[in-house]
Amino acid sequence: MKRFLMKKGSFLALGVLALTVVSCGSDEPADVIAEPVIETVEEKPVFQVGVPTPNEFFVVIRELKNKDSNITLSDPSKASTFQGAKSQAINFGIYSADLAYISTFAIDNKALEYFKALKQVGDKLNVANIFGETVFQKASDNINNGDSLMMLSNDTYFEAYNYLIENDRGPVLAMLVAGGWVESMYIVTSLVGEYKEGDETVQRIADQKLTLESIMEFMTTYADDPDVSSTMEDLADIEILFSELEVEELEKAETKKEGEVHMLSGGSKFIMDKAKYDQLKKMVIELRNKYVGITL
Amino acid sequence: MIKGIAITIISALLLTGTAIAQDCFGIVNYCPKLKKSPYTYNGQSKSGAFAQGDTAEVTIVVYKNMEYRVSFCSPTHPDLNGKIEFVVAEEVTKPTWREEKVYETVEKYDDYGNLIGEEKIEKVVKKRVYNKTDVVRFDNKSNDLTQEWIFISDQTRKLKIKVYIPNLSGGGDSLQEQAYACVGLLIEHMPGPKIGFK
Repeated sequence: MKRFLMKKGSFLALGVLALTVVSCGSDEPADVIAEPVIETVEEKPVFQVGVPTPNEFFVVIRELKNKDSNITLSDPSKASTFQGAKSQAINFGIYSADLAYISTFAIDNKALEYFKALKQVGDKLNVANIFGETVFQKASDNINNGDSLMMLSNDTYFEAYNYLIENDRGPVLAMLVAGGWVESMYIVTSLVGEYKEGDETVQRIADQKLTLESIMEFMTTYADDPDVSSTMEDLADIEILFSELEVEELEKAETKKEGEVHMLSGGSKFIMDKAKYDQLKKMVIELRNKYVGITL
Repeated sequence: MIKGIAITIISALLLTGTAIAQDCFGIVNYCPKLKKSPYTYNGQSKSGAFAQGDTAEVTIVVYKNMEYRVSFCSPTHPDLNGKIEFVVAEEVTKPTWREEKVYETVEKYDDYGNLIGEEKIEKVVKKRVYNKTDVVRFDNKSNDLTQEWIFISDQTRKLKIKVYIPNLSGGGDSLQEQAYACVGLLIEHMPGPKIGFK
């Protein structure tokens, strides 16, 4: 085994083989030799690609931008209206990203509504058992404590993530991750507003090329699922736009040790000009609004 | 009778597979964290079942000016702790010049200006091409097999963590004990030192 993955497939294959041998020994005439059935079970490299979470992205952005309480997040009162696995999984990701933004930027008094919205969508997705009563109690107790809320929001996201992995529900997870990414892009482009030359946050948006690549790679694992493949199609135009970004080669890649910390420098960076930024922002808004059910 | 035994075997095989998978699931949560750590758990952390003697590769994205701590542990095989080898590499694009032979067809004329045929002329053209190569950012074999790596990057970048699980079999008696080790790759992050204005 060469990756971080589970070996269930191999055991299944052995099981199928054992079953074939047994049926041959008991019910078939003695002179009939059944050919062994060799079933190829593909090992899914579930853990090959790391996908950064919205929580981490917002921590990065918090270092660069102040909060904006006027951004229109997804309406938590619509949580019960999403129908179908794709819409529910994507909107679970969207609410997760909203909650991550609210807790990271300490947006007043909104967290509880989003925990409840997540519980509602989670019920439909059959992941609601990750929300014990303690989650709501803790959220309620820490409603004005940004750090505790952030931790709770992180934990909720990872609980859902791990629950879906553990229960072999990769397609739902893939769509959840996609929804979370689209919403975090929507929030961060809203924080930036109009394009400004040299804005570090715009640079972080350009850097999302790498994150989207990882998400698409992760989703490819489950591309047999029609909902996952249609979500990938939704994201295709954005990925193409990212692939068109110019790449600036920097100085030679170097790693220097300063105390206990290694400093990585060099390599390359992506350049996002106004035209690409405006185009990306438009695409993100359109896709996000389609997902949350807003028609303009 | 035979059917009964077979069903038992099949069940045992399937259950063993599930047990191994479930044992390794979430193993990274048992990796030791720093005391009073300022770091936050990073969602790109991994847990997995490994065959000893094998290698694994995980790709992660790290953000500019964030500080990351990468560490490894094997709670199921404590004898592996301190012995896991890892290399962190980055795919870097390097420009180089490549020479290519091209052929141009030119018309040939006689002394009187009459077209008498065509001639292929060989030319060498230089093209600037970009090759992707892996640049090693860290190798723990060159650092006393340390099981953690702390770093800050001046750019957002994609890194490949290549892990080698050494073969220490001989301790456990069963095939299962010898063959598998649960390994956690723990990634943590926090904002790096602030430089400049917000």
